[in-house]
Amino acid sequence: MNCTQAQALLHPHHDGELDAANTLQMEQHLADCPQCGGALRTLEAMRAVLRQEGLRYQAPPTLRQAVLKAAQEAAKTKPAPAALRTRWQLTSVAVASLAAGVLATLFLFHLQSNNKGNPLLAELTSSHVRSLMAGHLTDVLSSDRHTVKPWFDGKLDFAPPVKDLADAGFPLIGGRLDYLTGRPVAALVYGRKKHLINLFVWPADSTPASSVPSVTEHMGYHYVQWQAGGMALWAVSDLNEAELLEFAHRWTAQ
Amino acid sequence: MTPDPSASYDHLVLPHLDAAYSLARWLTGNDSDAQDATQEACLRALKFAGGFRGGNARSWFLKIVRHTTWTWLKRNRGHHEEVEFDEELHGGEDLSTNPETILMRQADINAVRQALESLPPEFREAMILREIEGCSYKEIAEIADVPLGTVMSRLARGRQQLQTLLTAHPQTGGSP
Repeated sequence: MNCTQAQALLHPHHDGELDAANTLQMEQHLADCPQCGGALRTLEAMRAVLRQEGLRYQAPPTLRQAVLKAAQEAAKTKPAPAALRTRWQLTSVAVASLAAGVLATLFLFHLQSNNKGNPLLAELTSSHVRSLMAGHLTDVLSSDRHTVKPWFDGKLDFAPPVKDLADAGFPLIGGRLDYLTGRPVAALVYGRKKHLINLFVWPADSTPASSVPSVTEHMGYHYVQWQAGGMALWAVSDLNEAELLEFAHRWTAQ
Repeated sequence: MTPDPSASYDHLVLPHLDAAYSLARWLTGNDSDAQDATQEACLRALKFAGGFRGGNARSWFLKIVRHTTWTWLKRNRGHHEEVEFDEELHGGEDLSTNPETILMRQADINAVRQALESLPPEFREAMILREIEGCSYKEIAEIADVPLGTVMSRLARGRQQLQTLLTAHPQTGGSP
């Protein structure tokens, strides 16, 4: 790859929008070329500046209340489909329970809102969603861990542990090279009935996370984070919390 | 499936209210316009919730927010706020900027805000969606209703202009 090609791909690379092959070539070029490498560091510095607290505005409480009120009034007065209207007219209890539900949603949402500023969660979400959308779920498609593990050789500066959990109901589907927080990571793909689990693996850094898996919810997905064998592990899936936790425990136990 | 519009609304709109308000706030440049536009967008979303056919709820809602906000601005301010970025004035391409120069700006959030606000609206909106909301190119393309290639070039140009703005003038207090 030369500088002209690298400059054309610099922004999509910085945004994690390149496929594995181009990403690898970019990494090589960026390591060799001080000028292009410097341009990337400038973009990274700008991102750090833009991701600081305070640049993302939060909806004021007055707006939240107004929006809720409008929704409730619209639900009461708006001509709704026949089935819905009867339901609304059945009893005012329905209205009260909806309001309670909305409040509960808001409360839960408030609890979760802390995660929204977490750039790693955002990156994990993008990687997970992109892997599902772009037809780029796996680079190596195999349920055989002896095929998947060697595939990573030479593509990563660490050897990711690859386990098949078919016996526990989480069959290995394949592996893929991915990018998180500016470093190449291994993404292992597992199935659970019709759900897919992306397990992101990279060497744990100096700030040790707990070896006990913990769950976070973000944008409708579940995230289980833990550490094992010196690796940082993040499982991302639309699978329910309990089963995703079970996956994490089985994975560590094996 | 016949979705219950109010239930979909809880699911589609309320979780993304901060994102909606933040986008509207960046597009309008002030709190009161942003609140009005967000509220109107919520009402539109409520109306259209039954038409949501699955997929990415945040993109679906932010697309409504973006459209409503621009329409709202046009109606209430009578213009699209087309600000021409003066490349002559702000200097041209400079890929050799020292990252530390930009990082110094971290201390001065108002300077960063001002720089973002002075970007042309199309670039600003792409930058906000990418850098602050963490949207993918595909999501931005859907929200702003433009092709992927346009997203990429708006981000590239937006970043270049922002870089110029953040590095061209050394800190100058907080002049409006």
